[in-house]
This record gives sequence, structure tokens and C-alpha cells, in this order.
Amino acid sequence: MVNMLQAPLLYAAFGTYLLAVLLYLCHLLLRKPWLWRSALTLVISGFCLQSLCLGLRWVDAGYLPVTNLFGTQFFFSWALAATYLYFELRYRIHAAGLFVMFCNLLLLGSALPRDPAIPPLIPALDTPLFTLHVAFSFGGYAFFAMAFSMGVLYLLQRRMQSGLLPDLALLRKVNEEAVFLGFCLFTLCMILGSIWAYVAWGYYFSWNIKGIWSALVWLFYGGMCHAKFVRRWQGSGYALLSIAGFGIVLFTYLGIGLLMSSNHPLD
Amino acid sequence: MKTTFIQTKLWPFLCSLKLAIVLASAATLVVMAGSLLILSKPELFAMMDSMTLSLWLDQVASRSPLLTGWVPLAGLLLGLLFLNTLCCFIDWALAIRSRWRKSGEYLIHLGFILLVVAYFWGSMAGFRSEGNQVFVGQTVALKLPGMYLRLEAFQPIIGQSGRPMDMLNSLVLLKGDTEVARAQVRINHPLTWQGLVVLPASFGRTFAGYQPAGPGGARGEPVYKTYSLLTANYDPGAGLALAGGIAMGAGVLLALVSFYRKRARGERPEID
Repeated sequence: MVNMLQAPLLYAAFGTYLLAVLLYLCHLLLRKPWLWRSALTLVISGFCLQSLCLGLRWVDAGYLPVTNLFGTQFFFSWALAATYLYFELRYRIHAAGLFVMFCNLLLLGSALPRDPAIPPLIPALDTPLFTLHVAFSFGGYAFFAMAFSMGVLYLLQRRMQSGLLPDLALLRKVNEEAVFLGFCLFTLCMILGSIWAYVAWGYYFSWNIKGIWSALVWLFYGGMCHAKFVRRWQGSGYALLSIAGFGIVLFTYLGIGLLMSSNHPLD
Repeated sequence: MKTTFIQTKLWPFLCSLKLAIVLASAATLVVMAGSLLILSKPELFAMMDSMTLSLWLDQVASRSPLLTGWVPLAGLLLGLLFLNTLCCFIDWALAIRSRWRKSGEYLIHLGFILLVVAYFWGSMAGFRSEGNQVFVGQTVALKLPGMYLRLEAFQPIIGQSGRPMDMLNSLVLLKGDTEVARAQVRINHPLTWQGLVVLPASFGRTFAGYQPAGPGGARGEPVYKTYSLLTANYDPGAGLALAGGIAMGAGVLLALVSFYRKRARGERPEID
């Protein structure tokens, strides 16, 4: 049942997101309200399809299926869509969040050719701590991706003063909120990961490259949560930090997961 | 005069937000650069999880100070960040009546303080012991004086592919002759007692002789004895670290509530 439904749901979600992005791009050029409304409806539809697929896979597996590269890409993509919807519904950022949707398409698109089969769960991962650790981790990453998007747009808007983009105050506000929420989720991810490490390995901090860089991500964004109170770091400085921070996130997730030997292998 | 200097210059500097950012940035850069050495020099860094940090610094890092110097440097910067956070937390606690709305943020600070203390304590007074070979019925001494571990039963769980999936160890922890803890230890389910954590790592078997000879004088089948390989780590700061994690988690939840209330009131971050 799940195998039969999985592929159609995945492709339908991808197609819906793709169409939504195209409509948002049209909205950037034509500025017609019906365009962004249609695009938003499509994102919501795509998110519902993806959520249904995720739910079916979860029920079928009996655990959150994020134990291989396909699973993590799929879940990260879902978290990005959820983050986009949160900010769109809250602030009506429209095409300003397109980068996050591009990331979403890229992740989902590159996951589609991979084998979606759910591997059997190894006992080491058979704990609710694993589910919570991974869910909070990708939730945090998704918010950091949104902060990156807002940072890039802030710098562009400052230079271009374009009517196509939200004003600087809104971009700054969304950026700060994304960093704060990402930091909160990532903190919970680190706490739960540490407890899990203690019961699985007998110590709560590992000097493995993944553990170190995850601590760096936490420290960096913790610093950013403070930097917003310093005048010099507000605005452009904060935007640059958001961009740099996402570089660290990408390296921690993909660079280490795929290119290096770590205790968090992706494939 | 001295009091005035402390009140007007030193204390504000120690509590300074900018100092926190500088120290966190410096620590981030040092660890970033240093961590690149981890994969290229496994002979130095691969053992970091097998021993406490203080032991690693003493026995391994001291042999190659140039390549491992980033670890104590990062430790120093984090130590200074710890002092800065502590001062900041005390400063908040002294004025809690007017600043209680920031309780969430400062609980996160408190969590960080407790975690740093716990890690330092565990590094200095703890130990890590891997690959303890224990046969069923055997009692072995732990590195903690007067503490013993007895394996009463062992059952490996083998998957359909023939791959080991889990290891069920019935363990008893003894203090002298007195039983202080008993647990069935398996993956993700360790035995814990006052900072001591015992968990399964692997298992194996060893040749134990032959079965009695048959009627024709032929040698009997070989007999193997299965043993469990256990990890027994001691970290006296583990409980404090858990308290730090709980404080941090509670702080995050409170900070989230506070954040949305502030946003609803239209408050913007204050400018330093």
C-alpha cells in the first residue's frame, strides 16, 4: 500500500512545489495578487501531500524513517516547506522565501531518483531520543536556511531598494526570528542528542568531527542571538552572519555526512 | 575607589555582551581550524572519545603540542566564555525583580554554566574503560575502588542476516559484597549508578577445550566460552550535565513563550 502510494505522492508533491515556485516568480514580475494566492495554495497542497507521504512511511516503518540519505533529504525538504509556510502565513513574505523553496525542490528533486525503501531499524537507533534528535535538528536547519535567504535578500534590498522585495525592516525581523527559532530547535536537538549519546556510548559529548561541528553550529547561532542586540551587528552585519552560519550548517550536514568519516554517516 | 572601578568598569566588562560575542567567535574559529586536523591525524585524535579529556591532554596531546594546541586554546576561550556567562547570569539574578521576563534566556545561560562545570569535573575526576571482557558468572573489579561487576547471564541477539543486533547482559553492580544495582543491560539501556555507566560494546568467544573423548578415543568437539565486552565509564559530572540540559531545555521553552509575547506587543530588540 505504502509502496504503491509513495512514488505518486512524492512526484505530485514535487510537481506542486515546482509549479508554486514558477507562480511566485511570475508574481515577482507581474505583481498580481492571484498569483501569490495560487502559489501559496499550491505550497499548502504540496506540503499536505508530502506530509501524507511522510506519515505513511512513518506508520509503515514504525519509526521516523530518516536513517539514510533519502530519508534525511525527504525530511529536511518537508521541514523547509513547513518553515516557508510558517513565515508566509505569518508575514506574507511571498517570493522573498523563494530560496527556501528552491532548496526544498533541490532536496526533493535529488531524492527522487534514490531508492525510497525503508531500511530495517538497527537497535542503536531504536529510541524516541533518535526521533526527537533528528526532527529538532532538521527543524533548526530549515530555520537557518530561511535566515540565509533573508540575509541574502537584505543585502540585495539594501543595494537595490527594489519594490519587488519586502522592506528592510521586515527582512531583518524575519531573519532574527528565523535565527532565534532555529537556535531553540537546535538546542533541543543537542540536548536530546547528548542524552542519547550518554545512554548509547557512555559519554554525552563526542570529539568526533560531527559532534564538534554541531557544537560549532550551536555556538555560532548562540552568538548570533546575542549579536542582534549590538548596533554594529544589526542589519548588514547580521545578514552576513546568517549567510556564514548557513555555510557552517551545510558543511555539518552534507560536507561531513557525505565526504568524511563520522559517527553520523548519511549513506 | 577600588569598588568604583569594579562597579563601573570591571563588572560591566565581565558581563559584556560584546565580550561574549568576541569569545564565542574566537572559540568557533579556533575549533573550526583545529578540527580539520582531526581526520588527517587520527593517531592523535581518534582516541579522544576513549579517554577523558585531561588524560588525553596528558598522555597524547603533550607529545604533539603544535598539532593539538588548539584543544587547550579552545578550552581556555570556552573557560573565559564560561566566566563571562557566569557574571552575566549573576548580574541578572541580582536584578531578577525587574528582569524576570528574561528568565528563559538566563536559564539557557545557567544550563551552559552547569554543562561546562560538569564536563570539567568529569574530565578531571572521571575515567573511561572500554573492552572489559567478562564471562558469564565472572565478577570483575572496576576502576572505582571497591566496586565490582558481575555478569549473571548473556544472550546475543542475532538478526536474520546473521548480523549481531543486540546483546542482553544481566549485570549486578557490587560495592564490596553488597549489591547496589542490578539491570538487564542492552543497546541504549545502560546500567547507571552515581556517575557510573555500564553498557554493552561487543561480544566474542574463546576456545575452552574439548568435549570428553568418545568411545573410540576420538577427540570431542571443541568448546567455546562466550564473553561480553563491556564499557564502564565513570563521570561524576553526568548528573550535573543532565541538570544543565534540563535547565537549557526549560529555558528554550520559556524563551519561546517570551519571544512571541514580545512580538505580539511589538517590542524590538534593545540596542547596545
